[in-house]
Parts: sequence; structure tokens; C-alpha cells
Amino acid sequence: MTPKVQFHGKDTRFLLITVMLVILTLAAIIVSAGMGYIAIGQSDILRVIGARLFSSNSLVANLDPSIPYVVMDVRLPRILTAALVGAGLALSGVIYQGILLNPLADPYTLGISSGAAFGASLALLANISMLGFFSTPLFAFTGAVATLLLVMRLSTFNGQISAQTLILSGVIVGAILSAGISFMKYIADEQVAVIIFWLMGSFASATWGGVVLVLLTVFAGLGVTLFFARDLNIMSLGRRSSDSLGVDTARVRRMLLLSASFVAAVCVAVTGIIGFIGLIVPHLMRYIVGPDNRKLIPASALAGAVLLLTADTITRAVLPVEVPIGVLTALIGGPFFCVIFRQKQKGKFYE
Amino acid sequence: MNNGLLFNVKDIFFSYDSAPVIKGIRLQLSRGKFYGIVGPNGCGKTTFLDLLTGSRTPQQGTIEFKGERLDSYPKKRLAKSLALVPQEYDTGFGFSVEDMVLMGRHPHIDRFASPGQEDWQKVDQSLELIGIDHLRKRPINSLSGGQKQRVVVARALAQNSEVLLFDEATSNLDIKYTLQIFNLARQLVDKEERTVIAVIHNLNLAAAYCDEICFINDGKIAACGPTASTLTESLIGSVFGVDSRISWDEYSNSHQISYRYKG
Repeated sequence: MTPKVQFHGKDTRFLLITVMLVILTLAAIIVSAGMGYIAIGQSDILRVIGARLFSSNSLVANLDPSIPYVVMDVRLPRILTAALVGAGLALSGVIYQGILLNPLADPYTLGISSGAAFGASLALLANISMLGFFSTPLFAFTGAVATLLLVMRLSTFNGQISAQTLILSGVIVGAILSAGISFMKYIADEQVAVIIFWLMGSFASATWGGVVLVLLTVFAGLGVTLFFARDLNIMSLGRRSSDSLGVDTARVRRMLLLSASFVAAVCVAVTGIIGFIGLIVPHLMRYIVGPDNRKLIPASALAGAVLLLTADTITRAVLPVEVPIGVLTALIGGPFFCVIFRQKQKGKFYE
Repeated sequence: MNNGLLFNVKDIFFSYDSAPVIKGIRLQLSRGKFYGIVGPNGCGKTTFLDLLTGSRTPQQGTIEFKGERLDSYPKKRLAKSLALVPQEYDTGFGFSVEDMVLMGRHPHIDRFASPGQEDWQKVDQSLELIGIDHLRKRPINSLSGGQKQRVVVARALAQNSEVLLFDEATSNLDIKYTLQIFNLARQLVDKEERTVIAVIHNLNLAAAYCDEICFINDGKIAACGPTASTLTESLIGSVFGVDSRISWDEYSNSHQISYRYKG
């Protein structure tokens, strides 16, 4: 019998999609860097970036001296943060959905974002800075992991996580934490503006330090996830199947949940709560590249970057007033969630 | 030392939280036989299979597989020897039939390697043996319950392991495919000296196909041994609480059990 190898060559298509997404991401970065109060041409942007990369000032010699400043210190940190946070949220969404076998799971619906926000608010309120720059992210991570454990504990019956109650638990815990955050806002005096603005989700205060932090986190998360991507595929068959197929389910599950929560927590710590990116992007990408996590993970990360960057550019440079990005993604993502929820209830998802 | 010894189960106990399920099982299973595990609902059959596959670890006692403790095996190495067809399974996010069956090759493929010639060969063979080659590109979620179950059996075949464990693997299948799978399993035992350990609800199927039959009742072995001598009317009465009569059936060439209905 000859093996039907000719059936198995889908990889060129995936390669093409990946290359397109990379180009799209880079294009979105360049284009959005030119948009804003001062319009800057694309060639000027490339020149400014080139001048910084190769430290040759001749490239920017005949430009307005404010342009390099606007691009490098105002726009690019924000643009790169938006892209990286989009990638990070989409990445953690893929992992949560894959492990919890629930198409509605993402850092926001599971209450992870609220947990991270609660931890971060606590750090902001108490003005904790013993660990310097990393205090807020660290508190956010602790809050995120504690919330994840609590939500999973609440929805576990007889050693099995019930998919139906998982989202419900996430929403309940999220609501309690939101009340806690509101209380903190109430008792905070001069810190209240900081907390409120940060909670709505904003990239306006992005710094290069934040970019580096999210960059390292997202790439570490991507590395861990891609390492376990095939195991994650098999874990979608349920624990007994994956155990018998040679996957150390308990360990991989722990590693991936911690990585996803870490990525989500750092994203929240840097930018506040941005909902639904982690929900929408994996769904869209699953339609395009299929359910295989080895393809879905990189594709989702890239698409998340493009989507959040586009949304942020719209609020920053297109809309007459700057709408908080978290509000915008919730306005787009909420209805999307309803559609998925309806389809899931009708039991015809992915058919 | 018996060379054919595969599993040596030494006085194992297992409980969920505080509810004991396996209450002291001692058992030896040998290579090249078709074992049937029968017993009433909730007696611990599925948990016992989970313990044999290493998916759960007994709280007391040990299980040895080919002379080494089961919990000392790396998962991948174990999966090359043991394949499970579970009773319940999730179907994930819409993998195709082909992808699902290829997952059976997971323990044989290195982490970042692609499936090779042999892997695809095994996938093709399993699909053809089960007769679902025409479904290979269909998403698994679009199949019927019976078709899904046959995909899971094909996956276990692709795993190419010397031991196959079936947990009610034919519960969703009509009689044609039930017999197909049992015949296939029987052939694997007879021709390739593989071992089949199957949880079976239908005692007549167990009587027809199994070399040895083990009755589990309330977390303990009620009886275990060659089918012909173990399967008795009084044992069925004491384990299941039903009246039955066992007689040799010419047509099926096996002992068959009839029950008193409407009793």
C-alpha cells in the first residue's frame, strides 16, 4: 500500500498566511506611526527608524527636528506596546481555550484580567514600589494566578472541570473583584485618577521600558506554548485520551496555564483591562488556519497584534476624542461573544 | 518468573477524595490474551483501566508492567506499549478524522519532527481496517456518535501498541460495527500476539470473544480466569443480581447466556 503523502501538503498555505500576517503587522506599525495630530509620511518614518537602528544622523538631516522625537518617543512605544499586548492577549486566549476546551474562555471572561487588575490596583493604591518597575506586574501576576486557581476550583466537580460553570465562575469572581477595585477607587484619594485611567485600558502612557517587558514576556510565552503545541492539540481530546497518547497532561496543563496567566497579567499590568481580544482572535484564526495549535498559536499572536494596533490607532488618530481602548474592544467584542455563545448553545460550532 | 507476564497488579487501593473505588485488587495479566472485564455499573472497571494505563496512580499497592513499576515509565514510552479507547472523549476544536488518527502516532514522533512515511502508513492502514477511509477529511465534530467511536478505535490501532485497552469501546455502535471491532481485536490477539483488555457490558460478547474473564464487584475481583470455567450462572447471579442460564450455542460457537426477562 502506498501512503497517501500527497494529501498532507497543507503547509505552503500556512506559510503564505504567516508571511502575509508578518507583512500586515509591519505595515500596520509603519502606517499607524504616520497617523496622528502631526501626519508623517511613511518614508520619513522609515528614515527615522533607520537612523536610530544604524545610528546615522545623515538620514534625518533634512527633517523637522520634532519628527524623530514624535516617532521614537511618543508614537512607537505606544504602537509597539499595543501590538505586543494584542499578541499576548490572543496567545493567552488560545491557551485558555485549548486547555479548558471552552471556546468562550479568554483572560477577560475567566476573570483573570480582573484578578490582575485587582492585584495591580492594590499595588498602585498602597504605592508599593519595593520591587521598582516590576511591582505592579508582579502584583498583577499574583492576582491573575490566584483568580485562575479560584475559578478553576469553583468549577471543578469530582475532579472534572465543568465547561458550563467555568465561564459562570469567571464572571462571578470577576464581578466580586470589580467590586473590590471600585472600593479601592472609593478609598483612594489622590491615586484614584491613576487607577481609573489605567483600568480603562490605555496605551497613552506607554514607555520603552514597558515595550521591553511585554516583548520579553510575550516571546517567552510563545516559546513555551510552541514547545507544547502538539501536546495541546492532543489534550483537546480530554485527559484520559491524552494521558494514554503519551502526554504528561497534568504537567503540561500546569505549565501552559501558568504561562498564559503570566502573559495576560503582564499585559494587564502594562495597559489595564482590554477585553475580548483573546476571545475573538483565536476564533477568527481557527477558521483560517484550522485547529492545529502549531499553526494557530503564531497566527493568533500576529493577528492579535494587527487587530489591537488597528483599534488603538483608530482611537488615537481617527476618532475625534480618544475613546479608551478597553471600551472600544468591549464594544466590538461583546456582540461577537454573543454570536459564539448562541452558536455554541445550538451545538453547531465548527461544523 | 513468567516471561509472558505483562501486568502484575499487587494489592492496589484507590479512592476519589474519600470514596474508595478500588478496594484491594491483586491480578496478573499475560501477553497474547483477550481479557474481558465485567461488572455492574460503578464497580470500578473504568478506574481500574485508568490505573492500568497509568493515568491514575493507586494510593496503596503497585502495578508492574513488564517487570518495571508503571509509575516509573515516562509517558511517551508507556504510550508506545499501551493504547486506550476511552468511553468518553472530547473531540476538540474540529480536527479532521485524519488528524485525529495521526494523533495516535504522537508517542512515535519526536517533538519537533514531522510524521514520517511509517506514520502515514499506519494511519492509512488503520483508516482502511476500520473502513472509514472515505471520512478522512471530514471534521470529527460533523460525524455521528458511532462514527466518532470508530475514529477513536482507528487512532488506537495507529498507535500500534502491544496492549490495547477498550473501555466500552462499542457502546455507541450498531451490531455490524461491534462485531467488526471485536473481530479485529481477536485477530490482533491471534495473529500478532497482542493483548486486549476490554471492559465489556454485554456478557454474551465477552463469552464469545474473551480468553479470560474478570468479574469486578464493589472494587474487588469477584472471580477471574478462563472464560469457560469462570462464567457461571451463580457468579452472574451474585455479581449482577439477575437470573440467567448458560448453554453452549452451536451457531455462535460459544457459550451464551440467556436471561429471564419480565421477571
